[in-house]
Order: sequence, then structure tokens, then C-alpha cells
Amino acid sequence: MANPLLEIQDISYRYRMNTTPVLQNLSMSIEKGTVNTILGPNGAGKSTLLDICLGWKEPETGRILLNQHDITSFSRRQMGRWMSLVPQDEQVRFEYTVLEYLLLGRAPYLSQLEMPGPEDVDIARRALEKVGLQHLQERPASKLSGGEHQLLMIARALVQEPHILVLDEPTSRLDPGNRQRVVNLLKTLLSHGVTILFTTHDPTLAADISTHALLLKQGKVLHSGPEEKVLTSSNLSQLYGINMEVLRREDKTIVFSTH
Amino acid sequence: MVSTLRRQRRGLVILLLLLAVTVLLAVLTGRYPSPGLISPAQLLEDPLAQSLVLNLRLPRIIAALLLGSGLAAAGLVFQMIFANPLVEPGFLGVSQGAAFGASVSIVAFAPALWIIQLSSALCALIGLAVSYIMARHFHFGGWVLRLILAGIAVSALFSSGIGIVKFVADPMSQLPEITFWMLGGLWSVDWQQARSILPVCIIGITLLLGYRWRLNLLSMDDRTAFSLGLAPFRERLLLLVTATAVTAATISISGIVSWVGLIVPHIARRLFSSDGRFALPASMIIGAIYVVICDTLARTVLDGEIPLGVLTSFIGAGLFLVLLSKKRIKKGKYRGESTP
Repeated sequence: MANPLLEIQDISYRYRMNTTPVLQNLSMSIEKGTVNTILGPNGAGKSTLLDICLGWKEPETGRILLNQHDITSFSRRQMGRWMSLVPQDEQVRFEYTVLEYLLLGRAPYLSQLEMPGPEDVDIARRALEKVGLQHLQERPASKLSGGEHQLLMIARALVQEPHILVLDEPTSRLDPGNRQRVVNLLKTLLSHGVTILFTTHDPTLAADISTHALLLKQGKVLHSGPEEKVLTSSNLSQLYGINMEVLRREDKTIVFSTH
Repeated sequence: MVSTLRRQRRGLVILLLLLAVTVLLAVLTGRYPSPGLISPAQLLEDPLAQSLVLNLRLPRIIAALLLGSGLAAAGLVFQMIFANPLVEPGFLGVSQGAAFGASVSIVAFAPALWIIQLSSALCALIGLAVSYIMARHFHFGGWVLRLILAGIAVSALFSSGIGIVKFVADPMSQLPEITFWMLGGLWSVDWQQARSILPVCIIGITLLLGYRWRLNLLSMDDRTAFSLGLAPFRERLLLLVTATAVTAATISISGIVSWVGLIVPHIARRLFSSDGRFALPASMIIGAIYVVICDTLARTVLDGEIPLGVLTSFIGAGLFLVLLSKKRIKKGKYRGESTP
């Protein structure tokens, strides 16, 4: 078996001392070229886990290996090239145009006093085409609709040209049309060899695009492994504490709750 | 995009030309031999006028250039790294610290200018350091909110200190001097003073200019900036200290000159874009033009000197009100931009 691209070994994390840990002795590994979903109820520690993978939060115990090396040995710029984040939401206080906003994604490739050049603009334009927003490049980023902004954040993450794309609930605020756009985009990225890690509250989405899934409950791994083995009626019912039904047809899986 | 870039660059060149014209006019404007402009020919013939321009007007104009560009640059940098368009360069205890330092030295020592300058610069930096350290120890809110709160509290402490110093000051000699210092002005600036702040200003402003694109990244929230490969805390601290050093240096010779650091960045963003690549240089040039004009008015309009801080606040606050109420300009601009 190939060595995992990202490996989390026995991490624990708590927000304040003397409180119960948000994550407890958690391990997971992510192979290159896979789509990994983290599912779990609110407050299970999904976003915290993403933050730890990115190095934004430091775990109390355990370590994170990126391409066999401890992530603490990577420089900030190197990390920016390895992984990029699509946050759940983000406030942009100043009015940047869509293109100016996208160019921010070039930061890991530029030294501190360097400015983005024509090649960087080309990369930004290509990312904008990938998400289908090329007609908006001169528009103020703050004036986009919720769906467009989500696509824009994904485009910026692509401008970083990462090995691993991390998304925090990428479809939670999207209408069905935009949701499908994001799904298609993630599938295309997967076919280009990008490794994807994302959290969601939508088991159907997880079943639709992921190859691997991890069920997180109260800071512990309930189940993890290949998607079809993890996303079962009994596992999901156990995860959410209600009856869940998983219907698998040839190329489509639907998950719904029953009473 | 390319055409936008070209347009913005052209805009900056036009601003630079405007600045050159402003400086030239400021050199020729004064109250000698009569209030108003002196013609270049007259200047060449009159040795007294030449000495006046060289020894009085020129150092003052250079100080005004440094003051305007420094405050406006620091203001823009602060607004961007705090992602808050309402902060100004003195808000982290810097302005009030400087005022406290100046008033203490006016009362406690013989009011030699260099002592006032040194003590105000020192107290400005102490203001920043205390605000920063306090913010680290607060158990409340996010980092930016903590800094802002610490800044407000430290400024208030210095203000009450100023109150005490004013209370014990000699009402005939020291009190007017404190008041005049706090109203701001460049009337006492000579070559030595202008030279004394030059190194800090040049190094500081150059560093800030070098960071002008990266400011955009630092205006994002911490987590986003981090995920883009930055070390947001370290880089913000570097810019914070640099911008404060420039502010402290300039107000140490000028006294409190408010509104430049607040209003000019707004104008620059309005005329150019929020992108620091253009907003920062534009801010600096507009700030320089603004202060040179205000200072020229301050020294020529009346027989006596009008305090510069009074003029910058009066004109600045007026402009601010006009800018904020002119929504139509903004909408029109977007509509224009959105058409492909």
C-alpha cells in the first residue's frame, strides 16, 4: 500500500485547559487522489479537525504527517502550496474585484515583497474559468451572490494549486443548481489527481462524491474507511441518533431519515 | 485587468504631477514680500526671499510631505491589517502617548524642541507597547477587538495624564504651549528637525510600500490568511510597529494632526481600488498633497499661524461627510465595472 499523503496520529485537542477535549486520540489517514468526507453532528469537532490538518490549531498530543514529514517542519509558504482551504464563510471587508481576490491565492508562490505578475493573472483566470465565473472578473467580490461567492472561494483555493484541497461544508448554503456545480467541479478535480478533504452535513453528497468517509461523534472516530463500507444505514443512524436509510442504486446513492 | 492596471498607474502618475505642482506653489506662497505668490523671477533677485524659502519654507514643506505621506500610509496600513476602515494611526495609544510625552517635557524640562520631540516619540512607542501587551493579556473577544479596546483604554489613561499635567502647568507660559502642541503645526520646523525624522520615515515608508500587495492578504481573517501561507500574527506585528514608528516620528515634530490618517485612505480607495498595490501609493501621495496644502494655508491665510491640526480636521471631517453621503458615485462605478 502506498504511503498516505496526510496522516493524523493519535491527536487530542481541547479549547481550554480542564474542559473536555473536542477531539480525543483521533487517527486518520488520507491517500493520494481520494475524496475524504468527515461527517458528524454539530459540535462533533469536524471544523477543529480541519484546522488541525491545516496546522492552524496545534493538537495537545499526537502528530500530523504530510507526505511523511511532520507538518511543523514545513514553512508557512510550503504549507500554502501543499494545502488550501475553502472556509465555510468569510468576511471581505474591502472591495476587491474578483480577480484581485483570486490573486491572493498566489501568495504561497511569492516572496514577502513580491507582487503577482502576468503568469499569476493567467493562473487566476484559468481557475475562474474552471468554476464558470469568468464573466465576473472585474466585479467587486463582495457583490456576488452566496453561490457565486462559494465558487469564488473554491477558485481561490485552486489558484494555490494545492496537493490537498480542504473544504469546510462546501455546499451548506447552496441551491441545488450551485450544489451540483460544486459536485461536478470536485469530481473534475479528483480526475486531475487533487486529493480532497471536506466536511458536510449531507450524507447524500458524501456518498455521491467521496471515496472514503470518517464518522466523527463527540471527538472520536465512530467508523472510517471506504465510503461504501462506512456509509451504511446502521452507521449513520448511530452517528446522528435517528433512523437513517441508505438507498444504493447503480450509480446513485440517496440517504434519508425515517421516523 | 490589464487596462485597469494601466488606468490605475496613469492615475498615480497624474497624482505625482499634482503633488509636484502643489509643492512648487507652496514654495512660492507665503507672506513675504506680500501675502500670496512670489514670482520665480522675483525670487531669484531677492536674497532675503531666497533665504526665507531655503531656511524656512523648504524644511517645512519637506516635513509636511513626510507628515502627510507617513500618516496616510500608516492609516491605510492600520485600516487594512485591522480590517477596519475606521481606525487611524494614533488609535493604539500612540497619539495620546505622544501628547502626554510632549506635555510632560514642556512642564518638567526647559522646553527645548529636541526634548519635546524625543519624549513624545518615546511615549508614543510606549503607548503602542502597553496597548499591545495589554491586548495579549485580555481574556475577551478576538485579537483585533482586544487591540482596539486596549488602545482605547491606554489612550484614556494618557489623556487623564495630560489632564493632570495641564492642571499643574503654569497657565501663562506652559499651558498655552501644551495646547498649541496638541492642536498640531509645523511652525517650529527647521532643517535639523526635518532631517531628524527623515531616516525613520524613509525606511518605514519603503518597507510599507514593499508590503503593499501583501496588505490585501492581511486584510483577510486570520484563518484565511494562514491558509494562504502567511504567518499573519508575525507579519501584522512587523507592519504595526513600522507604521507606528513612522507615525510617532512625524507627530513628534508636528504635534497631533488628526484626520489625515483616517480620511485620506478612504479617498484613495474611492479613487483607485481597495487593492493595496494602488491604494497605498495613492494614499501617500494624496496625504502629502493634503498636508502641504493645509500647511500652506496655515502659514499664509492669517497674520498669525493657524494650527495645522485644526485645518486638517476641519477640511477632513467635511470631506468625510461629503464622501459618505455620496452613494451615487459608488453605485455608478460598480455599474461601469460590471459591464464586460
